[in-house]
Formats: sequence, C-alpha cells, structure tokens
Amino acid sequence: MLTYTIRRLLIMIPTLLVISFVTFSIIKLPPGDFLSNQIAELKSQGDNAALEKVEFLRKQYGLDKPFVEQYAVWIGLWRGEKGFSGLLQGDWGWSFEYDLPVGDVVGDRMVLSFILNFSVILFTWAIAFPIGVYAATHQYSWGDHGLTLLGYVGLATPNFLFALVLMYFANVEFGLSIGGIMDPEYLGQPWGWAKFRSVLSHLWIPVIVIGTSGTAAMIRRLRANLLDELQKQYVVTARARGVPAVRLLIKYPLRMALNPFIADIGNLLPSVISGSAIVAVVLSLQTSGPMLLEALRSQDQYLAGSFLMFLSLLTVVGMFISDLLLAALDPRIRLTGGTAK
Amino acid sequence: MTRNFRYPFGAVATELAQGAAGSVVTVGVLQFAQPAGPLIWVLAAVAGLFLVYFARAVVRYLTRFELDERGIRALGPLARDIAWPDLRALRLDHYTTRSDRSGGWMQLVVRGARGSIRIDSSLTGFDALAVALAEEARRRDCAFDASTRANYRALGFTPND
Repeated sequence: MLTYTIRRLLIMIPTLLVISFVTFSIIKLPPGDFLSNQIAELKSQGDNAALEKVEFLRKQYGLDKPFVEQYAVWIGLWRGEKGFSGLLQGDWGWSFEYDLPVGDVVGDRMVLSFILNFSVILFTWAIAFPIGVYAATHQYSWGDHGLTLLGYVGLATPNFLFALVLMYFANVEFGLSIGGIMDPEYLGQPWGWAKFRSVLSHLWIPVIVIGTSGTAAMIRRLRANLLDELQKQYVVTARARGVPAVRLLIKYPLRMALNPFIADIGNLLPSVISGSAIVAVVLSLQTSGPMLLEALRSQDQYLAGSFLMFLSLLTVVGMFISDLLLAALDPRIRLTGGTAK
Repeated sequence: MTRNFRYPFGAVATELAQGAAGSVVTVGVLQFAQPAGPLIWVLAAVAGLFLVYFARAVVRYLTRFELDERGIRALGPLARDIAWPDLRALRLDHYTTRSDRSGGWMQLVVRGARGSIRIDSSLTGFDALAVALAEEARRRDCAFDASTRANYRALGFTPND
C-alpha cells in the first residue's frame, strides 16, 4: 500500500498544479478584468480617489504583471508585492466585488456548504444502502417495483424543480416559508448553540431536495451491482452448501457491491456542491454556490479562483481517499483492463 | 536447491527517483514558500512519506530472497526468515493507479508465525516465486481469499478454492 499511496500522491501533486493553472487561465480568458471595468466606470464619474485605490490594488495584486507571474503569485510559489502571499500561505486574495479579503467574504459560507453537503452525503448513503440491498434481494417483488418507480421519479426530477414544488406546497398548504438555511437573525452572527440549532432545523429541506436524485442513482447502481454478485458461482456454491442467507450476503456480495459507494466519494463532493448551486439560489441558501456563480459572472477573479480551487481540491482529495479505500477493499486484477507487469 | 531473487536496478532506480523528487519538491515548498500553518503539517507528512519510500527503495536494492526446501528468507537490512512449517497465509494483491485498472503491479505478502515478507512484482522471477509459494501454501492447507485467488488465476495458477 505504501507504493500505491506514494504513486497516487505523485499523480495528485501535478494534477493540482495543472488544475490551478487551468482555473486561473479560464478566469483570465475574458478580455480585461474586474478593475478595468471599474476604472472605466470611475473615469466616467471623475472619481479620482477611487481611481487611485484601483491602481493601488492593481499593483498590489500584480494585475499589471505577466500572466505566468500572476499565476505563480496567486498560488504562493512566487514573491509578490507582499512577499509570498498566495493560496499556499492561506491568503485567498482580494474580492474586488465586495472590497474585502476573500477569506472574510466567504466567511460562514464554506462551513455552511460543508455542513449541507456532508448531510446530503449521509442522507444519500443512509437511504440508498438499505433500499438498494432490499431491491436486489427481493428482485421483481412489489417492493422492488415500487422502489424502482420512485427511483426513476427521483432521477428524472430536476432538483431546482423539486425545490420549487416543495416551496409552493409548503407555502400554499401549510403557510410555511422554507427558504434559507437558518433564521434571518443569525445571519452574520458568530457560531453558537442557537445558530447551530437554527441551521439544523432548516437543513432537512435542502438535504432532501439535493439528495433525492443522488439517492435514486445510488439505489439503481447498488441494486445492479448486488444482483451481478448474487448470480455468481461462488454465491450459488455457498447457498448449495447451506450457508445462511444473511451471512452469505454480508460476507462477500455486499462487500463487493460496496465498491460503487466508495468509488463515488471522489465525485460526490464536487457534484453535490456544483449541483446544489441552483437549488441554493431557488431556496435562498447562504452557501457557496450562489456566490461562486456571482463571482464568475463579475470576473471577481480571486473569489472565483479560490472557490474553484477549493472544489478541485475536494475532488482530488476525495478521489485519493476513495482510491486508497478501493485498493484496500478489493485488490483484484481486472483482466479486461490489461495485465500486471 | 536454493533459488535466489533480487529487484533489478531499473525498478529500484525508478522508486529512488520518485522518492527523491517528491521529497525535494515538498521540502522545497516548505523551506522557501512559507506555507500557512495547517499546510505545513500536511506538507511535512507528505515529505516524510516520500523519505520513507526513498529509504525503502534503498533497502530493496540491498535485499535478496532465498527460496529452498526449508522455507523463504529475505536477506538484507530487514532480514526475515519463514520456515515452511511456520507458513500461515499468503496474499496476492494487485494495485494500479489507472482509472481503467490496466497495468499496475502485484504485491505478495507471505505471513509466517513471527512476521511477514512483502515482495513486489518488479522482482526478477516474481511469477515463479509466487507460484512456488502458492504450491507450498496449498500443500499446507493455507486459505486463499477471493482477491488472491483471482490474482493467481491471472498469473496462470489455480489455487484451491
């Protein structure tokens, strides 16, 4: 496993560097930058003091420097005006739109996004696992057909539409407003027990809305995977030898069927975060998704870049963890893919 | 008759280069880029891992394996000896870093009563050594898990089920 871990790490480091370069390039692709637009606006208003500040920011963040130098300063591998001050040093840059450091702008949003998305993942697994096992072990039963139908409905319903339907019914039928991820009085307040409770009481709606399609997909995959395993020769042999059904199920087929759960760790986090952005807009959630959309729209390069790098880091670290777990759980050769040297 | 096995220099040289490159990059970033608090610990842990990997490559280069009618021995800095009566289990794992699971390498773990020996498939004569060990394990009724059975079948050997 040490060799495997090291080789995966060796792949991970250049991957992150390439992702950061591509991210920065894409953000810089449109002509001009946020400050160019600001300058044009301020010039038309004749605001000289603000113009000086814009020039100061342009110098401080090296926007007048060559592209490669800007990139190296941004990730913290090159000395800028403030010395080494980039992502590696924990300085996420300056948000031109909010006129604040990115760290201050992001504030609670990363924490709230993490709580929401972690809850979605738990919900997905907690629901999908027992239903998937039931559907596979009771193939073509009424329960299987019913759950399959529900699964297809879940897969076919866009999350934002589900959110709109829930909001409509909650409002019209029960007179409830289910938007937001906490009560408005806690917005911007320091974390405490009351704020945490408020978040928990609001969390279930977005968790159900965002988690439904992922749960349905996971049920389908677990069912298919487990059905494949249950039809294999070793299961038939074990049954013929009189191994109790539950023990047989838990000992091998279920272990093998867990692979998609583990393989999904890497994809789950970024897909849940990016997939939840539109739902967050619809449900007025104070998470990172809507802010990312706004940052990309307004070319707020450091804010957008930091978000995208954070998502990429989650993906790469998630893939790394899932690969390590998969290698430990099922170190079998797949002959269809090639042979070992 | 005693049979000897060693890692070829080419395979060890690749590992040495990987370990050295990883250590230089991570220590370089730690030394010159003044990373933030939590990142220091992450980078230090990664640098430590690369250094262990480098040291292990050196140990591998100095190790040779002996197989005869008495048992299997790893001779070198981390010497170990497993006599056939002490053989407890055999495990053959396959690892690959590619998403289509092509290529990769195998690792054989021979467990004895007082320790284990790990052998990678980059060893010259690995297939013959793995099969010889599996035949010995089969004679001694050692159990093979599902992964080991599948991986042995890929080597052209069918262990007992």
